[in-house]
Amino acid sequence: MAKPPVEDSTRRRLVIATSAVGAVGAVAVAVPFVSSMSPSDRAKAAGAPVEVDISKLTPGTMTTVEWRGKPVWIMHRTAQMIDEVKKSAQSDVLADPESKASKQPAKLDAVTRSLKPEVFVAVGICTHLGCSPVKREASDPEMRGGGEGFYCPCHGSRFDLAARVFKGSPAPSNLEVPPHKYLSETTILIGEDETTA
Amino acid sequence: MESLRQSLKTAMRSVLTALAFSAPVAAIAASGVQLDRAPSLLHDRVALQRGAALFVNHCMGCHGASFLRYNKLQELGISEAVLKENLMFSATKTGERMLTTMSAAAGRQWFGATPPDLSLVARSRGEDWLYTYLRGFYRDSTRPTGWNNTVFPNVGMPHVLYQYQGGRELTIDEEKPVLDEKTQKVIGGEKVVTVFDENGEKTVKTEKLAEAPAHASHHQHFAAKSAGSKSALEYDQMSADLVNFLSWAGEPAQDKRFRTGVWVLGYLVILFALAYAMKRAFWKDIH
Amino acid sequence: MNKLLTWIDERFPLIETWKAHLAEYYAPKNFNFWYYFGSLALLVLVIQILSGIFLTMHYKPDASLNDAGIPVAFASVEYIMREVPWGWLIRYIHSTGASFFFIVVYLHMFRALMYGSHRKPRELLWIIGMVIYLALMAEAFMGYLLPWGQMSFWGAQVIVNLFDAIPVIGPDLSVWIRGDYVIGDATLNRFFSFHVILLPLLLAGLVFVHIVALHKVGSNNPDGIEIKKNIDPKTGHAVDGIPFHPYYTVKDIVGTVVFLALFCAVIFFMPTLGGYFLEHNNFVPADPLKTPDHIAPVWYFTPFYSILRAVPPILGSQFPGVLLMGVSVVIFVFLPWLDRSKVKSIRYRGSLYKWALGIFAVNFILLGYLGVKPVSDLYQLLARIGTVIYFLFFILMPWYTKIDKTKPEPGRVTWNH
Repeated sequence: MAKPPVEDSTRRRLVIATSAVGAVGAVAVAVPFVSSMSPSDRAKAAGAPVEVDISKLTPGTMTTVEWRGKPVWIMHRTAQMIDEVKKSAQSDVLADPESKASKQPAKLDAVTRSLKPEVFVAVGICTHLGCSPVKREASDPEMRGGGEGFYCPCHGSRFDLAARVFKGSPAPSNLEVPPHKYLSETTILIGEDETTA
Repeated sequence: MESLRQSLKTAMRSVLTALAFSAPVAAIAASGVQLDRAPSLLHDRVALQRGAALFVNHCMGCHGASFLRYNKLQELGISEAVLKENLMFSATKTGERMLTTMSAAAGRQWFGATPPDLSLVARSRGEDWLYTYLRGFYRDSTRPTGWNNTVFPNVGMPHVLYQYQGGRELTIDEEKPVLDEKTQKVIGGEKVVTVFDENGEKTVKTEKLAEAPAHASHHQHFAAKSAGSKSALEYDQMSADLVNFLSWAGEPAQDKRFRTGVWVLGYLVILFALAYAMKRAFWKDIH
Repeated sequence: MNKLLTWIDERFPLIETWKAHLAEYYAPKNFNFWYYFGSLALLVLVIQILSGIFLTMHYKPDASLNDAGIPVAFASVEYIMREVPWGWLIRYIHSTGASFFFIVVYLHMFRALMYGSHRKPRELLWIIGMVIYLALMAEAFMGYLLPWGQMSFWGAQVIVNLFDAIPVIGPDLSVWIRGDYVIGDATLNRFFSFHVILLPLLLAGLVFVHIVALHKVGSNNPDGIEIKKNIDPKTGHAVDGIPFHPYYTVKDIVGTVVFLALFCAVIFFMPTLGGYFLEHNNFVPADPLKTPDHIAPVWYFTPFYSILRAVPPILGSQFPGVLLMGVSVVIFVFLPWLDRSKVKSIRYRGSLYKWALGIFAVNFILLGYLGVKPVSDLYQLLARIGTVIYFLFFILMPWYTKIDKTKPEPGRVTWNH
């Protein structure tokens, strides 16, 4: 007949040691299972940086490319547009004029939010609830006199030509500027810059 | 680690052979040809890189390796710059899959069947089969492509590496018992010598044997007739590189698998020692 | 902590369950090597369910072709093997687990036949076990279609076509099972559904019931005597019983570690096991127009497949073979009543049963071997002899177990400390 298990110290030490080593094993087993849920090679390949040729982008126009399933705008700003960007940065109409609360690479020019003033890159997804804003002329009543910029059709957020949000819009911050760099004068790589490469 | 791996592999191979675990892929191909053992060079990165280059240059015109992405080749130590410069002909992004440019329909039209995707060919055929296959092409004027193969009779694929191997003549020696048509009894023996010359012309010589052989036998050998751009040894080396690359391509994780396994088993040995001691400690009160 | 436990226990019989099934479940103290396989089978079930959940996140049951001309289902398995981080490991765990499940279950069943664990009062426990085994066969068969390789496809084609042989309803039945005239996308999707939902649920439920039934009657042991007949009046527990926890938990942990070592050796060093666990031809995508030279089911089905092939068509119908194969599986259910021996354990039986069981086991392995091989005259003859031996084991059992000379069973379990 078995006696009730007596508490002896060897036994206790062995239980602790086996449990500890077993727990290490259990954590190690969890690693492959947990990491199997992170992006696969396919997802990474699909989310790889996108090369864009901007040689045919004429002043005043913009193009949209897809990067990681999101629309990325590349706008060729005219001198007049750049002036407007500088002007609105100095007025008090913007919620976050210096983009302190907004996502953008560190190397950007603080006023124009771009590497080169005339080429502006931004993720075209509203920071409010994820709709895609549309370009509007200054004359458009939806811009409510804020000048040329972007307007979100879902909840009426308004942004200037550097995609900075106007005060009184539901969007909490400016549109995101993705990491990007120039491969040549006319080619931009979206999704990678010196810090992320 | 490498030598440990090698010796473990050898040990396991012999255990498996001893247990006669050889059924699904036998050392003899379906066509009855003895297969040559492919050298295993899976740890030779330079060989793997040579194999990758051969594959891209000579196979991908017709065959894809659709389960590989170009950037996977970087695991073989190929830099991104070299990859883009030398190995990507039809693709623009390194994350693209290694697809062939030839359409399935064109393949059917030219070769009678769509050339198969080769990502897994080493796993389905086996390395030895591939190694023998690549070195088993011979001229046969009766085939539409002018080529035939000793391990894959009437294959649709021509000998794409011909320029390297050069012209060869195949001789097949067969000895077999001759049976009486009615009684099915052995009444004699014959020797058949079939030759496919360098131009694919076939000649068959049959002679009667005084004594019937106990078993049918089949031997074949190649004789070099005109030189290719590589020596016979270099051509074998090339074939080995290609097979080795295909072996890697069949399971790119195999090296990681082995290395992980060594750690896992090491861990289990420690856990066993502890668990066993714990069991003893508890069971000492059972009388 | 104690407060929480009390709070829970007032609402759920937690401590009661713990006691009834672990801390105060008294198991015979003389369990030997063969008694590991029950807990190991449970372990493999958990491993299969866990790895299966993660495979299901990436697998796609789709027979259509992708842009490279490869079926999406086949490609999704290779996607797991190459592109999903650690996907190869999870897949090898699952594919190796399938084979190990059967190894463990076969040893578990053989244990029962050796020590009479299927005999009264454990007949229902045995029957539930057989139902688990049938569900497991269905689970494995349907799972094997999912990689959508040549062997998956043609294996399923052959097995589903067996239903064709059933008189009258056969042809309609096999079309209904497939949902198509050949194994196709519809078949793949329903097999996937059964494999990941219906059968795992069923298996989990059956295993639960199996354990409940076991704990009702109590475990058998290598001596085949009932420990409950010998109760210590002071404690009220069997004299030869020991609490499952901690004694058998610590012992089963040792068994588990040894099992995992073997399991991992296969996963990491020989995941295809020379073509037996993962067949070479299954690395070729399913092609409905091209049958491989040699089709055989996976090794764990081959003893029964051999029996199927051993039966010649009668009156041009394959049905007798199909029927006999079905009978060869189901006949195990009747074992508790076929066995007429006075004793349960092989230790106290005469030489007749020892020989019968030994021959049966060797014959089972031989039939399994023949089932992997292509048919030849010699193999066909051997398979026929093997089939006869297989059934004689069952048919003659009431006779040879009755006349077999038995030794008296001991009053207490054999225990050499």
